[in-house]
Amino acid sequence: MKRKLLSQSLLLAVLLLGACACLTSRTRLLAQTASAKATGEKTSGLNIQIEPVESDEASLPPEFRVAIYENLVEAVGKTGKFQHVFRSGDRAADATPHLLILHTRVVGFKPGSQKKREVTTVAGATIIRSSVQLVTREGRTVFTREVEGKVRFFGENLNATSDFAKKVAATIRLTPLPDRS
Amino acid sequence: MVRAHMCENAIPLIGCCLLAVAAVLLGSPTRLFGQQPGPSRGSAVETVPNATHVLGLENVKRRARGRLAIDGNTLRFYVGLAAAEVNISSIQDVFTGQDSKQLVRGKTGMMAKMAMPYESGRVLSLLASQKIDVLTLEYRDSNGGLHGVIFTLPKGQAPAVKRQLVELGAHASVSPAEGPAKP
Repeated sequence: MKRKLLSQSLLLAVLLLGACACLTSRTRLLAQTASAKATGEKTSGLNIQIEPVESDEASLPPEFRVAIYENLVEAVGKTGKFQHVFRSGDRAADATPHLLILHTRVVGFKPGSQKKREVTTVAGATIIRSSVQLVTREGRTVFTREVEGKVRFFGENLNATSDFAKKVAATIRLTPLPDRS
Repeated sequence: MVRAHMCENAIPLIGCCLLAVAAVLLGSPTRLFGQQPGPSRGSAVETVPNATHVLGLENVKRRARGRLAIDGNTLRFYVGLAAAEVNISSIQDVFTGQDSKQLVRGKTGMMAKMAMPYESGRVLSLLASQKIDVLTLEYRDSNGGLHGVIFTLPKGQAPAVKRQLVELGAHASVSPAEGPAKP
């Protein structure tokens, strides 16, 4: 009786170990496939170059123009849709295939005031309105959008540039990009 | 009777808030309504303490506080023992401007202001602000890529830094003799 119980428990333990081993190997295979898929999306072969921000607004301070540019470089890089993000004038981009170019033109700017926002809550918003265009190296337009970045209740005025860059990145993420061909 | 009781409780609360505001005003390192003395026009700027890196430098956190130094042909920003540097001859443009910043800021400061009773947090926002200078640089890296860097400096420091950078070879579309852009 005792021998029978022992042999049955041993058999059960072996079966359980085998099942666990099978599950682990299957999970590892699935993870490898997923990671390959993820890297496949990131290394789609497309590259992008960010051009400096142009402005129709004489009242746009230079620190806003620079902050929009730097935040765009960071935000577009985080989309994961491009193999490499080049800055304007980077010589390495000249020989790079499948290059898209991002142009930004500020068409409206309301400076706002952090003090006014914190004292009144309803007034003092900083708003940046820009026309964003993504084109191929050959000049074909992928998309043209009006994007608005703002900071309303709390935060510094320059936070509007970060909000703007995130919205541009979201637009790029949602837009179907041209194939490498 | 209830109203009288409320008034009795309100008076010490208002008094505490006024004391807190007075402590912030008196304890702030710079005068709020006066000008901070800056370096003389002809003096060379070597180090600017209490500088804040807003964004742009690689391997330096945003909002990092440190000191800005001009060392030969290099502009350096020291954060503790680490430093980020920009070759002055690679600077394409230099801009200066003026701004103001809240003395009580950040998420913690915002929460503290919201928690203050009888809207006294708004009074603090109105009174506790400080004038600062903004220094904006555009430079090219070794590959020709355009970079932008923004620093905030104590009031009155940015024009002298710009003058020094231009003398050492930086380009500027607006000459240092012209005044900085005012908000």
